[in-house]
Parts: sequence; structure tokens; C-alpha cells
Amino acid sequence: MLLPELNNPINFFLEYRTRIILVRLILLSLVTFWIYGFLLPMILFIDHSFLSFLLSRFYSNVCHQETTKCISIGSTSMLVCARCAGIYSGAFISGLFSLMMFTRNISRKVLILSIIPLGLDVFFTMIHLYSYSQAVAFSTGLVFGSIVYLVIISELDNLTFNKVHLGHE
Amino acid sequence: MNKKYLSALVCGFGAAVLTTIPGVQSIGCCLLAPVAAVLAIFLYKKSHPDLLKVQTGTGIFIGFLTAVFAALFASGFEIIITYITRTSDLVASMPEAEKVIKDMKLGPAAEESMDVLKQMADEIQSKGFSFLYIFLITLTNFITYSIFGILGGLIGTAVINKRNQPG
Repeated sequence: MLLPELNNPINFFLEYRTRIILVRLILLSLVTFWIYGFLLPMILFIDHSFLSFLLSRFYSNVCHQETTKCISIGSTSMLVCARCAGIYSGAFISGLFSLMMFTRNISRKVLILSIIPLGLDVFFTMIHLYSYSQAVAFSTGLVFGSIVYLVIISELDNLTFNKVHLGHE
Repeated sequence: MNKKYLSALVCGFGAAVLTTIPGVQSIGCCLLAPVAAVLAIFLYKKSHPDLLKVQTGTGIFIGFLTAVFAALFASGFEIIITYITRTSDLVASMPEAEKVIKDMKLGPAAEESMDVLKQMADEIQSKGFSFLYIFLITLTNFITYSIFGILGGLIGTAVINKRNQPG
């Protein structure tokens, strides 16, 4: 049975800090690896052949990869669009901060609020109210990605908490 | 059929159908698989009115299952479409890729890998089927959809459990 003081989530976080941070580190590593993947054409020189096809195909499942919407430096561009790059960057930034702080349960309203700017930007560009801007797409993605990451982290913390607290989920 | 599998099957199939519609992915982007997973958890919860809370493990499992079904159906649809049309994104991108290889003089290694791509494109154009191409699209579908399905499962569990919290 768990000690009563561990019923408090902050005490729980302090008590199981190593385990929680380890889980967050693993998740952050996976996000970093994912970001490294779509930045690969910019970091390393990849010829337009088999590896390029494989990488492009890999990320095409999760992004439309329209050339005009992808951030590019010189002749090379990322394998995902500016919005997706923003989402993953937001997750990465949240991941870094989450290593140093206790994440409280994220309200559903915050999650919905974070998706509103993104949704509005998609809608407005779709009806041609204004033209697509990589900066706006990146920023709206950044906000959404960081909140989504915190939701995932808090859910993983709940999983750990419940497993330790109740002995099961 | 277990309702976990049924909700995952329905939402996975729906997501796979959406991937075949041109233009949908430019709106849905990376949210298609996670949204399907969230919807699958929602359906699972609806089919169990007595269930107070969806367990995180169950949510992850439903998300993963939805992704597996989505990958399976999406690959199937792509195989059928490639067979009927005898073309694919690989065939379409071949002339440009060939030009780049030729212009940049990338050496024998690049040319060898280009030959593999050419062989795949030729098989698709002549027979409408390339084993290597099918293997690659199925593999990439399974990996990416699974990752995003699991994430969708986690988010879905958090959202749906909060929705059912009193107060």
C-alpha cells in the first residue's frame, strides 16, 4: 500500500522523479529522432535516390509535403510542411521543459484552445481569406504541438501514478 | 466481435479511406491517424455505458489497433489503385530524380540505387505490381501509423476520461 503522502501528485512526482524523468527522456529522444529524420536532407547530403525515396515515403504518411508549404534552405527542403515542423518543434520544446517541471493535468479546454488557431489558419487559407504563410503555419503548429505533448506526458504520468498507487491501472 | 476490435476496425478503415481521397491529407496532415484513434476510443466508451474510465493501457491498445487496421487497409487500397492505374508517386517522380542524378554526377552508388528505383517503376508500369514497392509502402505505413495511433490513443484516453469527470 502506498504511503498517504504519496496520494499528493507533487509528492508522488518527487518520490518517483527518476522513473518519471526516464520515461520523459525516452519520449524526448523519440521526438528528437523523428525531427532529425525530417531534417536529414538539410543536415546531410542525400542523393535523390533510394534513401531519399524511402525517407520521403516515410513522412508522406503524416504530411502532404507540398513543396511550397515546406520550409527550405537553398535547394533542399524539410520532409514535412511548416505546420507539421511547428507541431514537432513544439513537442520538442515542451519535452525539454517537462524534464525540469511537474506537469499538472492539462485541461481539455486548453487542448481545444490550442487547436483553434491551427484550425482557423487551415480554414482561412483554404477559403483564400489570406494566403498561406509558413511563419503562421509554423507558429500555430508550435502552440498545438507543445500542448499535445504536455497532454501525452500527463497521461503517461497518470499511468505511472495509478500503477504505483493502485497496483494496477 | 470484441468491441475494442470493432471500434478500431471501423475507425482504421475510415482513416484508410480518407488517405485515398486527394486533398484530404493536405488538410488532415499528421492528424488523421491520431483522430481515428481518438474516435475509436470514443466509440469503445460509447459501447460500454457502464465504463466509468478508459484505462490508459486500453487506450494505447485501441490506438495501436486502429493504426494497424488503417495501415493494412491503406496499403491494400494503394496496391489496388497502383494495379489499376499502373502508376504511383514513385513513377511520377522518376523523370525528375533521373535528371538530378544525371546533372549532379553522383557516382556509381547513386546510380545503383537509382537502378533499384527504376526497376520498381518499370514493374509498376508493366505489371501494375512491384513486390519491393508493396513491401516498402506497407512497412512505412505500419511504422508511421502505429506511432501516431499510439499517440492518438494516449490523447484520446486523456480527453475522454476528462470529459466524463464529474464537475
